Amino acid sequence: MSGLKRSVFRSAITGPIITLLLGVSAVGGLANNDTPSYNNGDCWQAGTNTTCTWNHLSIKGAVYFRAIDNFTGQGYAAYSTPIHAAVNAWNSAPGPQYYSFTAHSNDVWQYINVSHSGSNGLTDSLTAITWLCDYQTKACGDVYPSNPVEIWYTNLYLNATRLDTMGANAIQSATAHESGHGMGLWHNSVDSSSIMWPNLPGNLVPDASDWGTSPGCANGGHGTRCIYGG
Amino acid sequence: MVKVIVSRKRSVLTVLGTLLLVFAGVATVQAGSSPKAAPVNREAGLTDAQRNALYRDTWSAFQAKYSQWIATLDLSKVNLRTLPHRPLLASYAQPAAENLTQATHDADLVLRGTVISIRPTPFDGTYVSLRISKNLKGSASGTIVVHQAGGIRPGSDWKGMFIADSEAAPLLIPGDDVVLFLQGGRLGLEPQAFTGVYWSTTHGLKAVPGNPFGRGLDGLTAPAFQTLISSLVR
Repeated sequence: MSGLKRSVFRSAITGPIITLLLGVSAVGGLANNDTPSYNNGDCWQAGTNTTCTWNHLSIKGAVYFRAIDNFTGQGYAAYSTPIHAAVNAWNSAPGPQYYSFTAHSNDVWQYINVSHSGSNGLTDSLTAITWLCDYQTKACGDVYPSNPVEIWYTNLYLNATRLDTMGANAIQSATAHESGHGMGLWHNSVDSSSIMWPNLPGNLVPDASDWGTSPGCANGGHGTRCIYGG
Repeated sequence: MVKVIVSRKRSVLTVLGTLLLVFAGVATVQAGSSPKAAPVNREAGLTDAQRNALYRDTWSAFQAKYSQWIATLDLSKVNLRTLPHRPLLASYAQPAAENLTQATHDADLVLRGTVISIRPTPFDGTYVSLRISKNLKGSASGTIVVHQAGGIRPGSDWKGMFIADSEAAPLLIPGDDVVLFLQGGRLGLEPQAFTGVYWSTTHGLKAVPGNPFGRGLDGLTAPAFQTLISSLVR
């Protein structure tokens, strides 16, 4: 077969396959929901390919997140107790993640905001949303990224339009869930006890799926341990 | 004497050359084996106020650029059916209803229609226009605009794009033939979470994954579904 023919043949075969895959993707809707999301990569291992904090690439072990209180200044001091409970729950859970309102060297910031439907991507069907901002591109996104992201900082928006009537547990659950996104976790569609289960009123504290297992994603692990090691 | 000098020069050159090759080799191996070396922390030494200002400025710059990108987006040149879908990083309320009777009862409007166009916004979801083919509950006719979470997002290079989907109601796109259970919200009529959207396909109805009674509707045709809803409305 000549080079030209081979090329035409390849196009004739791959074209419909790609079209079919795109079509299936479009009809099938949502992508794989669970962490890890990229080639079973472990951020703590060199040469792997996953989303993690910008200052933690190829580093194994403790990773520090700092919650930044924007909600008090926005007039939502009443949200303080459940939000603090969510931050404390992540901080005291097993795994490499530390999460606190107190500064720590090399920490990664998660701005916790309260907003309403019609702002920052929130609508009435959403109780909260997270925007991950990438160190390399300086762009932000509210979806599972198409390429691995170096999480530089995160903007969490709790939807008061919904949460005002849902109570403190829903606020805590939404905060803990979105904070998990800020750590690089996606939804968990398998374990309904996971904080990354997408529906509210959900769980209040992370479970074993959320901190995951060592030695890591490449070995079938989940959660913060598979991303950051430790 | 000359031979000795030449020989020494050769030796020195050989050693230098070898060192150069070794250095280049090491550099190559390091670059190849550690493509994700930890970056220098360029924020070391910044005060909290300086870090905050840096983040706020880049967030504002991103918002402006993204708004401009949406404003200049010409969807008439885009085949939306071929775009990849990505789920929102969000949390959702529980499914709006436990069964079809409750979903029908709670809906302000139930209708069947075909999507004509969509108008994505940067931070306010997407407005979807439909031509109504059958009104099943409430009064609506002609065309209607429905609001949804998610929309069109730029790729990392700001050139490509993809669809950002709410898991509670994935984005409708032109040509979709759907039965919708709608409720009034802050931004207008929205599909019920998880129980508000049913696509009519050649294989029958397709509900949103996560709809608690969606499986029970598998294989049902849209006309049969309409008859079922009409019986519940009566």
